[in-house]
Amino acid sequence: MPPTKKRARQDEAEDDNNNPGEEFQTDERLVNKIKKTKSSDKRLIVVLEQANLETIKVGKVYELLNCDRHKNHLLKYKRDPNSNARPDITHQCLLALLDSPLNRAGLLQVYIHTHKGILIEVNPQTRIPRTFDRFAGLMVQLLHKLSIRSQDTVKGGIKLLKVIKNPITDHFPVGCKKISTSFGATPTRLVKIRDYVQNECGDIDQPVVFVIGAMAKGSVNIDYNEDTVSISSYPLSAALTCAKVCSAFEEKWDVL
Amino acid sequence: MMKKAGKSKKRRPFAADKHNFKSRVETVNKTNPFDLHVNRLKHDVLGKRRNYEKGGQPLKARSRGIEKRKRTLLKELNSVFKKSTFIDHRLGENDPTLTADERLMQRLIAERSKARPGRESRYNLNDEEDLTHYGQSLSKSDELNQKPVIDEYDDDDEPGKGRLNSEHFFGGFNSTGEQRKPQTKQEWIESMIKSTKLDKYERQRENEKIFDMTTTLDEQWKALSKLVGVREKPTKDNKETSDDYDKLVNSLRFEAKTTGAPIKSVEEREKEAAERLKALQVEENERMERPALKSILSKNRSQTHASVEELDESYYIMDGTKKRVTFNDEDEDGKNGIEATNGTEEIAENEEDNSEEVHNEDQENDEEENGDEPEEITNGDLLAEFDEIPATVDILEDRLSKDKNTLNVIWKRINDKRLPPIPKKVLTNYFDVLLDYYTSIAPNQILYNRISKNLLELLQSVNNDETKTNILNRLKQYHVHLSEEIENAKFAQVDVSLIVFLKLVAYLYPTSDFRHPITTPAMTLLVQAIQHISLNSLSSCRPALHLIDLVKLWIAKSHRYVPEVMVLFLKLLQLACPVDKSKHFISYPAKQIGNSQLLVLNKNLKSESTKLTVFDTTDLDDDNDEHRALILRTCLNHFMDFLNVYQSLSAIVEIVQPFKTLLQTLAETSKCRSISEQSREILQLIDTIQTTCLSNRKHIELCKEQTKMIRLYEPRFGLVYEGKKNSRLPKEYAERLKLRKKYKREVKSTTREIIRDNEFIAREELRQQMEKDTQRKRKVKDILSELSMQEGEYRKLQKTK
Repeated sequence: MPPTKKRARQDEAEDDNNNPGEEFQTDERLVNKIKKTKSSDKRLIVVLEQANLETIKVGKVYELLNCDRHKNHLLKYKRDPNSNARPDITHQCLLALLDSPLNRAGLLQVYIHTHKGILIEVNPQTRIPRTFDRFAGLMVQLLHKLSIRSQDTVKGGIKLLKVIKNPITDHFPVGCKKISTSFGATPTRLVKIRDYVQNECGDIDQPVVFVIGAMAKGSVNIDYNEDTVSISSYPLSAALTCAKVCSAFEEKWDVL
Repeated sequence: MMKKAGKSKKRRPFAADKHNFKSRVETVNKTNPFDLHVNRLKHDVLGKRRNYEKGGQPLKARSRGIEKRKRTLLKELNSVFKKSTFIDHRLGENDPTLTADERLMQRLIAERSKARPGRESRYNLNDEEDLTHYGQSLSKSDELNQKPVIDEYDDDDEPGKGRLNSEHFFGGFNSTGEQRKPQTKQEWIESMIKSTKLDKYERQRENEKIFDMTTTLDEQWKALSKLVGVREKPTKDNKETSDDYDKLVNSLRFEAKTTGAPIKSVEEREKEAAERLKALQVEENERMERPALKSILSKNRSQTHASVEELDESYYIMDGTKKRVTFNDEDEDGKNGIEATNGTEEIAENEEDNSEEVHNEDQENDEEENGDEPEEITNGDLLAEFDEIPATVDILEDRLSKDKNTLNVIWKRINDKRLPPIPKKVLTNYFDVLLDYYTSIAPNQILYNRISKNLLELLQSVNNDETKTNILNRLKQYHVHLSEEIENAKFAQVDVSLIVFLKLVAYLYPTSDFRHPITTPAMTLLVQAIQHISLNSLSSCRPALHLIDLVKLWIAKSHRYVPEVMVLFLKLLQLACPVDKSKHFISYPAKQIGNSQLLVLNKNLKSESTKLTVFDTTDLDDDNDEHRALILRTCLNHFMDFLNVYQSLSAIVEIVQPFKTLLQTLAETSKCRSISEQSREILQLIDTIQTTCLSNRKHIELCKEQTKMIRLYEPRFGLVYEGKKNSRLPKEYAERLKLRKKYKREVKSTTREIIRDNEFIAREELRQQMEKDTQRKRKVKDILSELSMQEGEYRKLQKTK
């Protein structure tokens, strides 16, 4: 009796494993791929460094600090009104990244590191609000509640955005190549991004980390990068850099 | 006090005491940075005011607490259980800083607030309170000093006569000595009152006089005006009283209650009608299409693809947690609606098509319509009230036999708007009656047209389940009849009435619909008849051709493929081919086809233009070549029409392939030149159709594999963030939560205070105890030392003794 029971149990277990796979083959696999954040599956990990995401309390409500809307407040608190409050850059970058085919194929992972040192993990399934005001609302809520769930009421929604623990290197897969981009590297390390991605980013199945600065001016100040490259001899906007990197990886991984 | 503080020093850190000392000395309140306790800021938010931003001062707070306890708790502690002490509970008595006045004030305030508790009294202005001065009411003393009330009117009217002349000031200059005599206040007031009363009286008299005069003058004027003939003006009373409100009321009263609909010009009406027709046509076309699978499934499946730049709708529903309101039954309703209105809409269509035919007759009828209404009385039970409309076929026939125009008369009555409208039930009944009549009469085109027009209009006014079931039942009857015949003889002769009835159905309902509650069963009936029609003789071929004609009419719009028709064509054409010469031959059951050479012509015939109609009842002779040619020619004509209709079918190449050999043999062998020419023509047409169709054919391709895509989710977040945990809670619930939180905090702080109080008391008791102990020890020591001294002295004394 015992062995048969055991076998039956095993069969059941196998059934459990098989059935969902058969039914939702496509989605399930993709979702699993997304869930395994620390796994060493091939994917592009983009870190938006120095993102200006900060909340300010105006009257009763909290708002995302924005140089246009809070000019007087910035002067009052003796901040640099021109460079330190540009959440729109982050918004553009996120739109460019999460709209990319690479993301829709489940091959992209985005982290945001703010200039205040808050680290945010972005679920690839997030649909970033298209307008800036909504984005601002989202970010304010995220910075206060530390996580944002999806609207779908299944299991209370998936966590789409969450604030995670520093340092960011803990969240990278082991042994992946970490590359930072900088216009400052133009004279020394100007690369053609397509070739660079094809040849110098390790094996085709390896995850790669790209660090892109989402700030108005200055440069990223990180210590975990293995390489610093410049992908254009002209200064590029952050969103454009994101798009270029994404398209390079799309070519590499045949995402059309 | 200082000493006590010094004693407790050991237990407290040095800084606290120092600080304590400082505050007592009232030096500049400088905080020692080392005394500050600052919490690390976890989430720094600009513009957020924090109470703890300056940092807490634990030491200061502690010393302050101890001070307070010393002032209150310690005193109580010292006096508790002691009956011999008094506690002064008078207000302000314990505070030596207050002056006597301030103390009194405090007590007064306390008294007042005790007398009038509640919030309202805070804003009371003491109106009703009686003020006193040395125990005497101030208001009463005021009464004594009050001056008489001076009427304003007096001052205005007679300034010269006023009392404010020089007499009042310093006694005046030109007054007599008597008047200047010093008067008491009382007297002065009395004289004043007297004079004012006199003045008033005089004024009144004056007014009365004037009034009398005006009235007499008015009367005189009236008398005079009558003589002169001046017309009296209407009194203005109404006008004077009417204010804006009255005016408004009046205007509303005289306002037109309804505004008539703007009269439409002929062009507008035409335009509207055209638009309606266009919309109906579009709907009909939609219904013609096969309902796509997607539209059926779409109800269950949510939108699969949201375009990238699309905005999230639920954003404005604050949090997105609320479900969006959806109308799931919307589609169903729409469907039902369409079904319900099917008939009427289509009728409008068909009416357009057939109006040409009917129009002429209509005009004729209009001319004839001058007959007066018949006044027949039926023994109607249900439909007695509307006896103008026949309740049974017999009545109708009866009336028709008397008056040919009855149908028109009845129709006129139905449409007459002056007379009471006829209930739908009666109309439905009339519809049934008319249908009965339609099926009962002998074939007659004009009558058919007239009745079908009436039926159509009836259906437009009453299109309900009864009419639908009525027609369906008739169809069923025909079907049963047909099936019985088929079962008996395998093949059936088709009645003329069936053909006529099916024609009526096509006239009343849309035949192009993909699915229709009436035309679909009718179509199946038609197809069944075609399938099982017997082709024994020429006269039996004729209904077959009529059926084909019907099918042609039905599918003219939808181009639906009916294979039975093609088979029938094959059979008919084969009949026309001589057996020996045809290469391709299919044998058919002998029951259906008696003579396999039925349509083979024996001699050449000149082309004739006679048309085959349903209403021909003349028998066709099987041996008559003219009749054969007639049948064959109609058959070929129909075949050509069908070819044109089915041109666009992708399978047309294969469908027409068997006809080719038949037509070829027909073209070669036929003795009638026109028929062979026609068959050649058809052959050419077939060839062109086949080539075009083959060139247009496309290979079936597999669908492209859909790219796998991760699903995107809308994040859930509110419109504005106010820092509240859940801003959407109901008010009462939120309030309760608030209270609970407050209560919790209060309990917490109170317990902490009590603990500290207990600590303080324990410390204090210990201190007192130790003090007592030391005192006792000292006393004991003193006593002992005294005793020893005494002992020493005593011994000294003894020694000396």
